[in-house]
Amino acid sequence: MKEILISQFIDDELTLPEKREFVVNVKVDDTFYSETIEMLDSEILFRDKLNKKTPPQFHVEKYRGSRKFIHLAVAALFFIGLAFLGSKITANKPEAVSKNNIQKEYRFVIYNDSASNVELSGTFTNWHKIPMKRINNSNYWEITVPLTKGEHKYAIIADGQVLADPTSTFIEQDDFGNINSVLEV
Amino acid sequence: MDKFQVFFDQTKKGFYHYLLSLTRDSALADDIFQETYFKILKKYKDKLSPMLLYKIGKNLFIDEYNRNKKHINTENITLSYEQTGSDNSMEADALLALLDDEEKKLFLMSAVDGLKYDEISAITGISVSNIKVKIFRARKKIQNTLKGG
Repeated sequence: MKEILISQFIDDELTLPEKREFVVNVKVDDTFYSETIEMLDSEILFRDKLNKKTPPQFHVEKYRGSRKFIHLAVAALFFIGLAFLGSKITANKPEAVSKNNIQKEYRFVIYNDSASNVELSGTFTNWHKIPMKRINNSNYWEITVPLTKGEHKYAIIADGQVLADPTSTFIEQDDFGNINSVLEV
Repeated sequence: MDKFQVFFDQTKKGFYHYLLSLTRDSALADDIFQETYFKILKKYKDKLSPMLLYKIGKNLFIDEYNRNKKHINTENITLSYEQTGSDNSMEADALLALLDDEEKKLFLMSAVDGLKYDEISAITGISVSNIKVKIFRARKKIQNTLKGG
């Protein structure tokens, strides 16, 4: 029964008397102490493993209908991907956003102390890379782009390496194995 | 943010890992994940509950399993179980697969979705003291496997 305290401690479920009991036990009982440390270590390791896989996003519109639609969407993404690969060789000009949609200026800021060149690429640039500017010799990089209302996916490219934005809460893996950040405007 | 969005954000992580541990196939887990939330949104928008979510998810998994047994790679399950030993490189879903269904749900609701024991108790009808024991057992199993025991 005493060991369950450790589990409750991890889950932050202890009452004040239980907390007291826990602390006393950790202090006087060596076995209890090492058991606590082991369980905490295992929890850290396990949660680390859990965090390696991010749940997918849920899109009603995307899913509505049948799974066939998803397959179509995957096929579409594949062709978009091909277009992206093709476009890398050609122009580097971001595509203008539709004039009919409401636009909003959105500022992306990222901290990177090792890269000499940071770029932004996303659905709103048709996955073309656009350079981000270093802010006053600091390690912060910024760019302001007009975004339409809705969901946008993007990634930061630091010295050619594609990274998800660490400040974004939503990330997802695309069909090419890249981790993209998702932004709702 | 609407109620469904809140519910989705609260449950997505634990539920996704639950599906991964059932299916051991991320494409199938993704499909069931979408389908379950879609069902919830369509039919049960007014009574959102993690219990219902897990139940629908499991039923969809069973349907899928019956529909096409070839889709579920059961060989993998025994393989990674045998491989455990002192190998702590096991994936989270393989570790979760060691738990029985109830332990898994309770553990995910608590450790991953961050629900309080009394909240879980209210959802599942299992007493708080029973939940404590079951979550502890789940942790112990994971710990022993990570240790190679």
